[in-house]
Amino acid sequence: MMYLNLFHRSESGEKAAIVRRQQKIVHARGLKTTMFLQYAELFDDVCLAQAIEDRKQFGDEIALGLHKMAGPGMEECVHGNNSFWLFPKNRKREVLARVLERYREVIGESPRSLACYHLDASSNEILRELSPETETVVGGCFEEGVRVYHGCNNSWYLFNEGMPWSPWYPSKTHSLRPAADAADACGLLAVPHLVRDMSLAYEDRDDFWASHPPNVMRGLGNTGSFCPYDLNLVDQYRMQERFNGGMSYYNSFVSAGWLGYNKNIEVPPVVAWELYGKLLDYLARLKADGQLLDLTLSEYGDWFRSNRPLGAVPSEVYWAKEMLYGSGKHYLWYLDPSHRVLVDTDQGGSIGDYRPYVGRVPVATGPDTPHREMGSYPYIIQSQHRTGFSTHHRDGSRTTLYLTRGTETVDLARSRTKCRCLDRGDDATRIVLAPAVVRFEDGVEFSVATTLAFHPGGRILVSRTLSGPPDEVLHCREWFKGAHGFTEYSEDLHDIRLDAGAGPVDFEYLGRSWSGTGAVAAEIPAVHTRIELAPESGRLSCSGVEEGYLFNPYFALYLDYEVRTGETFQTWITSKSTK
Amino acid sequence: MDYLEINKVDKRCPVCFSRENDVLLLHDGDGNYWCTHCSFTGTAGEIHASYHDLQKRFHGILRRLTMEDQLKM
Repeated sequence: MMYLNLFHRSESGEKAAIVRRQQKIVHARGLKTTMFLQYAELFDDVCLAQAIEDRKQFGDEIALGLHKMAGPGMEECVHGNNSFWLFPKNRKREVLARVLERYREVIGESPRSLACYHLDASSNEILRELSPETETVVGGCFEEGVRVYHGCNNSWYLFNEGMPWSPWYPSKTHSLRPAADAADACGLLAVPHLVRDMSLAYEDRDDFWASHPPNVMRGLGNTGSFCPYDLNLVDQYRMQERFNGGMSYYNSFVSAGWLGYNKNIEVPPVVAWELYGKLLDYLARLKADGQLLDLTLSEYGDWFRSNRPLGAVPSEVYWAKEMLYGSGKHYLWYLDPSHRVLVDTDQGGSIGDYRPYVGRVPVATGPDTPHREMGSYPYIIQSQHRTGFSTHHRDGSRTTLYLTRGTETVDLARSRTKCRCLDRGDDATRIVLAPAVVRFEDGVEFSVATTLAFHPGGRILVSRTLSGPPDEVLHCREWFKGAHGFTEYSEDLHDIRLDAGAGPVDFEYLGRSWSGTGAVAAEIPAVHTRIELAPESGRLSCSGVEEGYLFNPYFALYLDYEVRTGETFQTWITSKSTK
Repeated sequence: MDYLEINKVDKRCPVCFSRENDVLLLHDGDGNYWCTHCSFTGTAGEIHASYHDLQKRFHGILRRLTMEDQLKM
């Protein structure tokens, strides 16, 4: 079953008529909405009467929106800043108290749901304090960050990378990190602002590729009023039900500005209306077929808390298949309270994005915090921002396997493969990749069959089986290269300590290396995480750690195995908290 | 003057857009556009032709992929 939320938010002036029309076309299809009233419209009698009537007639929910900081007395409080999560904490409290007071005055009760582009840890804390009746929030825009910032000509200061793609229980210390347990949870349930294309959210500007037809138009993903991509994305999310206990989540949150003349869309609004209508038609058809249930946000929150209470669903996965470019690439996303991992099957099964939730990095945004606008959860690997596969000087953050035969070394990330099987076992989630073929210069081919098993507690077991000409022995290096960060620029790595087994040494950007005979590790205080590579099986010949330098600002861990064709070798990649 | 110009619809620089950056073009009201971020200059027709070229990377733009299709991918 797919659970659907349709979100609209109130507007004044010319846009009010657009919102009214949005409501009508949703209701005409037998669907309901959650209407997020913004502060300015809490003084608009017509808007309020319409929202109350829609609630009565269609079962809509009236909720609170924090996207627009306008209305009586607001300007002298916010001074032009519309970004609630970027206020200092005392201002957040002042603004929210004012908005809630008016909301209660005109609606007669506290909102059960609230929406913002991003709600940081301090916003959630204040919300819980001032409005304990508010239980479900739209709390972040999946993977909006560096690419969207650049795409808006370096002017969009919304950094939400490293978060769950589907509903989650935010932790107290970082709103984008899923809580590990009740003590860690802030008390809210959050859903993403839109659902995104899980291939292009990694590779591309993810604001284009989402459950928002006019945003797809902004990315030129439509041909006039023909845009099968909008429906393809719905079906890709429906496909995830097979891997996540029969449930998927979808929402759409198109604001009025996208359905009038918009500066970032070069076709008339009639096309946006038509595509929005076609998306709604499809959702209504799924509902009629019994494959989709539309709920308000608070209804969905109630359902989720009852059916998926905190801790009941230990992990989530997403099997992404790229559609728009027609590449058919597979990406596998895995998430649990210890980490979020992206596996890039097009690079032999390399990890392309790694967020070590286990470190529980505390982040709140605002000018009164050291993080200022940076609300993302930090990565240790981000191969799009931080080089990944080597094309110029050196490689960047990623994992891979190097295979050496004689004097020739081949990088497994050159070999494209796909996910063959996704097994959601009780002990672990296993991603089984089709064998990746490696060809050496003399034409001799080998294949590497990789399985990644995600065990609880931040442990990944990477199993590789080598096939090829009998009795050949290859030197295989399991490689983990990382650096903590938020953006494409490097952070200060001085605090990192590297350990090849003889005790930790400080990272000093001197390009040194140390070898060992067993497990190797890097301790990264900035993210409270220790990353370890340890052999599980296979003939380990050597291990090592490498310290980068300023033109190569990473650490690298490796394990070397001697592998005969037909043999399997296994490596644990483990992240542990250093707190 | 095209329909969009009559309706005062802005256009984004196709060169900047090819780098995934939305930069609005300025225009002289006589059909000539220029970019403040790069050296692009052009007419409305040239701009729309460039958009069309950019869409050529989307090989799947016309393909409806049902869930059953995607399961087979």
